[in-house]
Amino acid sequence: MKIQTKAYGEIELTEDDIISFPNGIPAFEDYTRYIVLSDEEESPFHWLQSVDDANLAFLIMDPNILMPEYQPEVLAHEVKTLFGKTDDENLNLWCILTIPKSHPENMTINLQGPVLISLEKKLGGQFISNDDSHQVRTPVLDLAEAGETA
Amino acid sequence: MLVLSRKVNESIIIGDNIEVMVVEVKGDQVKLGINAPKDVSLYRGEIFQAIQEENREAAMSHLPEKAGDIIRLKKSK
Repeated sequence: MKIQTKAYGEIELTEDDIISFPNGIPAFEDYTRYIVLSDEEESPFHWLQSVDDANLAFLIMDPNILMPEYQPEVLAHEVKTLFGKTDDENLNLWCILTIPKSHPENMTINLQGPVLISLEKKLGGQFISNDDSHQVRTPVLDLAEAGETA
Repeated sequence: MLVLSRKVNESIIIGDNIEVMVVEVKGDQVKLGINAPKDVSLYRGEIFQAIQEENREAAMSHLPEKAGDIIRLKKSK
């Protein structure tokens, strides 16, 4: 099937590429089908693109690139409710980025609302991390610099 | 919204197995104790709201052409 995307225009995909978000994403609960698209091969930036609305897409990143020690504290029963029985190792961890158009250097990463995806089960959802140090708006460049000096 | 008056150490029961107790009242701050089964999700109300708001902002993000460079540049400093 063909769909329109925010970043790459029309692309071709198969049903197999689609990841179901049964609860949607908070504030966008009506959109429950997504695909993960990658930018250039080496880029840390990926798109979580709605299959049903070209304009709905989130920039996502593996937070461990910036913070190797980051581990979200999500409620085990919520993970189990969505994915059923699954090893945590089989879940892909993503965090959503906010990049202001006029000041991309002010980009922030949402460490409080991590997105977990099971490629095996084609399921995903946004969770809440109960660690108070995980903020919705963590400046990415501070993390990049912190990572450099560490 | 149902509004109930409670004193310290008084509680309300929600459904079969959730109890919310007023533990302490200090100025404009109320400390609540909550007894609930493990499979009930509990969050401060503003956290969920903050995530919704951030998602709305995030959905308007644009990937600048040299986004990767911004991070790499800072790193190479």
